[in-house]
Amino acid sequence: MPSPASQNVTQLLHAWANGAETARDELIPLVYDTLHRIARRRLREEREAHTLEPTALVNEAYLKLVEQEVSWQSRAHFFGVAARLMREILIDYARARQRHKRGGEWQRISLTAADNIVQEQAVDLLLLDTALQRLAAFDSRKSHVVELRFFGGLTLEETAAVLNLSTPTIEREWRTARAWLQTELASA
Amino acid sequence: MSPERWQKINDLFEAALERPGNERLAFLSQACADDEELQRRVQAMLDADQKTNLMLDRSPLDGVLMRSLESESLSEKMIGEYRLVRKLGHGGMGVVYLVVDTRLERQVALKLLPAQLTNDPERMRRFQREARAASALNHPNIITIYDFGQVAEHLYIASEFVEGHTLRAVVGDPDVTLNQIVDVMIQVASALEAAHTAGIIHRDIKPENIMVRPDGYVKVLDFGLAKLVETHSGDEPDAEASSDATAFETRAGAILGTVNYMSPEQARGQKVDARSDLFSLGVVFYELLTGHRPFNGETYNHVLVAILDQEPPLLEQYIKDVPPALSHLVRRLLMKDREMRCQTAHELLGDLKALRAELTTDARLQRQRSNAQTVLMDAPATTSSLRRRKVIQVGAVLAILLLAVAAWMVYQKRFQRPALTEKDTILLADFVNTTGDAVFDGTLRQGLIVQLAQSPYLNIYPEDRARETLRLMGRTREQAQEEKITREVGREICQRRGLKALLVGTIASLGNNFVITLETISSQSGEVIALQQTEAGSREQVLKSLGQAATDLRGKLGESLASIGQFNAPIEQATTPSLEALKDYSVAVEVQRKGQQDKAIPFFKRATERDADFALAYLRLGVCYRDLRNLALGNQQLEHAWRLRQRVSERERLNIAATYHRYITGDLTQRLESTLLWTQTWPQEAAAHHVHGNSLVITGQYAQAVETYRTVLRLDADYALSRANLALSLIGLNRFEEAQAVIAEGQARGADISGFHSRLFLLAFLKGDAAEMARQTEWFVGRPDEYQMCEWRARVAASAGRRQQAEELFAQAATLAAARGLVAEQARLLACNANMNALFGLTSVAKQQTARVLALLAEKNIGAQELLPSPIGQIDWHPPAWTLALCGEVAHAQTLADDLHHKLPQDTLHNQLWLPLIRATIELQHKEGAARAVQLLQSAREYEPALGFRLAWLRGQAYLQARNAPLAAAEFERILAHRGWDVMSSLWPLAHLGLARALALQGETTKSRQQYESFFALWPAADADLPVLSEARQEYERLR
Repeated sequence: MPSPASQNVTQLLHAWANGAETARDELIPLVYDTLHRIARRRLREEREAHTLEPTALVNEAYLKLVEQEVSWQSRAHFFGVAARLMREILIDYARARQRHKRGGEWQRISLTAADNIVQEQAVDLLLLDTALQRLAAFDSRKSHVVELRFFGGLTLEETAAVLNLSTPTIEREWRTARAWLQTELASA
Repeated sequence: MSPERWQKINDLFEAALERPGNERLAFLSQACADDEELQRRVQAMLDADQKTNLMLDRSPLDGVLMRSLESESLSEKMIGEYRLVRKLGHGGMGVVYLVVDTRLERQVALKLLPAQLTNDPERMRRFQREARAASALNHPNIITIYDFGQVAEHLYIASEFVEGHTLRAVVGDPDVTLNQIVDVMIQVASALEAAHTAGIIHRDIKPENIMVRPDGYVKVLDFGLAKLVETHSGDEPDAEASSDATAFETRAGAILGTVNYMSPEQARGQKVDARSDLFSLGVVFYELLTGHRPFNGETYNHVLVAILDQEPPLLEQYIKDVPPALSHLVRRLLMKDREMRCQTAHELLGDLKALRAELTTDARLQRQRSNAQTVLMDAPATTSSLRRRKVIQVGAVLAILLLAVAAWMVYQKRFQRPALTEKDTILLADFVNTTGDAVFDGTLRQGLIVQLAQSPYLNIYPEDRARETLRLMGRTREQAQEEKITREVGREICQRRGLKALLVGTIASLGNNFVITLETISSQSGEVIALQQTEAGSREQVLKSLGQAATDLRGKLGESLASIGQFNAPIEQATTPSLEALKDYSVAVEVQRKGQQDKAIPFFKRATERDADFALAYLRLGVCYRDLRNLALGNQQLEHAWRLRQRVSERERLNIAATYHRYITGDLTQRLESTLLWTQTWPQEAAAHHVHGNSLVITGQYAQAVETYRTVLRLDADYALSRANLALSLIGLNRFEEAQAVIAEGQARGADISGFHSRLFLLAFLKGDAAEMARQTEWFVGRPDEYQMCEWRARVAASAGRRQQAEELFAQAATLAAARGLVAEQARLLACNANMNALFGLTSVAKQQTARVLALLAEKNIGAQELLPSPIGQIDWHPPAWTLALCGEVAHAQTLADDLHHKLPQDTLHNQLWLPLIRATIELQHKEGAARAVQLLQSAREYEPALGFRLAWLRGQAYLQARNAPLAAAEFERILAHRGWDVMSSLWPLAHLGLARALALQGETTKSRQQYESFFALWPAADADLPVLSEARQEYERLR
């Protein structure tokens, strides 16, 4: 019997998938907090091994949130959502940083975490986001692959599973998209 | 971009990727035709694709949340009133955290000291005393201590939290100006002045303990704290000062990290005073100015040596146009004698201020990386680049971020994987002794050799091999003997010999303590592949610490714990607890190595006098005496060694057993067991196989000996002794050509030992090459073993029936031996002479000569053990009992034989071979004794070749007497089929004679005559009056 919270997440996921933008705003803190909590517990358990697989995290978060055994499609969908979420969180945050508007609506999540990530990233996230939007205009699949791989931290195989394509195809798509994005970022 | 355009780009990119890199350009040019923009785009993508470290490859999720958690995971913890925020760093003296004081809600740096410190009440008191004194300091350049105390098992110190970076970040910074450096120095000097006035010495001034705030303010950290981790300071001789390894390990980090900035008096463990801080500050000053440390070295010990003995390079080497005042000031700070040094911080402060006034305001240091030169020059005005520096939030406030320690720890980690395999051989360099105490010279190296040799895993390259290599490297014989095997020379030897690694040991003093470093250096890369360091609390502890270090090193080099556990006799037992005794032993080994056996004896003797339980010294002394043919004294020492064998390492125990059973008991079965076990346990040790090969040769097992010596040469193709014995074994198997080739190869490798020449003599004799025989004999002229060649010439004459000549040469050889004081050898030569006469039928001469032998033995009191050698190299020996038996002196022969049996009940060769031979000979003196003789001789088959042809010949004689012609013929043919068993034996021609008689008995007249003729052919110039020859002639005539 799923808990109200998990019911809520499932509903929100469906709502967001169906275009309800407000659902996203409600999902973000839920997903983020869960990710955060799991990561913290893992960290305590695996003090020595500092290799947390991002997908394992997301996967566990999903199970936590949805609290039921679900089909792979649903989980893949969730991966997609998580990647999308990460992208939006980070891009919004990078934008906020650029405008020197710290705090405010972001108080619900740990800003330091996002801050660290944004600061550390070699790629200018805002430029990447723009380039990715341009890519989506003429090749949405490649843009999707990048989102899953880069923002979602998915492996080639996982990305293939989410998009229901073969791994070699994903590899090819990823390589081409990556090369193109690099030239775009370099010329920007 | 239109989807169509993109599709084109996409397709071209993918298609180009499928082509080899060098074809892509041509492909693109062709495919794009005149669409340059398309080609440019795809080419750019291909270029991007080739780049490694693509920025997109790292997902921001990879580190997701982890970072924020590092602080949060601590956030629930409290230490007393302090709430943990995050870890700032750690060092030798504990871990430093950023905490919040919950009472005042202010940020505080909290250092937790190692729990071990609290176990010790005296340390606790000292800690409190020091911390209280330090907390009383109130100076803008000294970090403020807020609080100190104890929570649970931890001592803590809470202090002001300073944001900024340590001076370490400034070292080598090209933007830093001279003014800035002087400014920092002024602030530190000012801090020191205040502390010294309050009677507090810092003791650990170094860049890591000096913080620079973003606003340029300097804060000195950790006043007096160093004292808490020093156990040995000259001013407070500690009874608690432990010398055990565990105590050192807790301190190792701190000491290792700080050594570069230590003053000479600190390095010596003398009383530290304010001037010691000034020296350390001088080192910091020098490093800031030049980017180089004034005292440096690859290891801890090298640095210490530099601090104690070496003048730092002049500033001018790194900087141009150094103001004389600066140069002078730095030199004064770095004076080794503190009386000569800048005396007070106050004085230093004055000098620094004067210097600053003198400097052009914008004097700037510019470092040119290419030639490591730093140029002092005037530059356009810059704002404080110290201040402009990107502020790194190191935050390690009280932290001593010991970079050296960190590096050291990384090193240690790297060593977890086995550095060597059991097939690798290492070379031991000479120990570097910087203590000034000569007792360690050579001594520690010998100790280490014994200690490491017990490891079946490690193979130590033998020193004489290393010395031979030096000769190949162009050194003269003398140079090769004397030259120190330094790190550099050692590495070259390793590279030439294909040895995996070089082991360099160093001992240095650190106050009253000694620090021993064992470095294993890869001969290929020169990198340190394992490092072991221990400290000894006193001179007396040094050996023990060395032993411990050796044991630990074995583990680091990859030996299993089980193996270390099994083969690890403590060094003070395996050698001696007396450094002086070990010193004597080392000198003796060194002298012995140079071939001066006689000069080694007094040192070995003194070693055994200093430590009456020094088993190895007895063993070496015994072998030394025996090598000089002083057998009685030699045997005495071997008995001592045998009694003490339980003390030594397993390997040396086998060594002692092998030697003892060869020379004292003669129990070759036990000897074979020992040497076999030795080869099985240390399969990579060439010496083990060599000794086992010797066991096999002594017992006449030539085929197995060949295998064993071949193993030696596989491990070490330059093992000349083994090569000589391999040739000997091959000769024993009639494989003469191979023997010749084996020696030729050895000579081609540059070896030249007497064993080669004696084998070549045998081979020349076999070929009847008189010129070559003469050439080989020539080689021995003037050498100590010259008498042996004289003996060999005597035997050549004897085997040709030239008795008179042999007689003269035997006498000459005996005289030469006597002149060298080798009485037992003299007796042996006389006995050989007597035996020759007995075989030739000159019984009365033989009896007379034997009487002389016995008289000599009695007169010189030469015991039975000394007379029954287990010879290697076809050295002849005939017990008087046998000769007397041959002469028909039955009773006397019987008495002597029984006496020997009584004295040497375990002697294998004597009891299994000689005794049956003598008894059978006695039996043959009676007409009816033949059957009994045959029976006695039947049992003497094992190890038969050890006695050459004697047993076969006597069996043949017995069968002849029993008129069993076929069996007699078989025995004589057996001799003729094994020429190599005893190349120069007189029994060889006599075997032809025996066979001739057996064939005559069988009625094979023609064949018999042929054998008679062969015999006569071998004796062309024989003395005419020999009874054996006259009889043969008569028999031959009768057959006609």
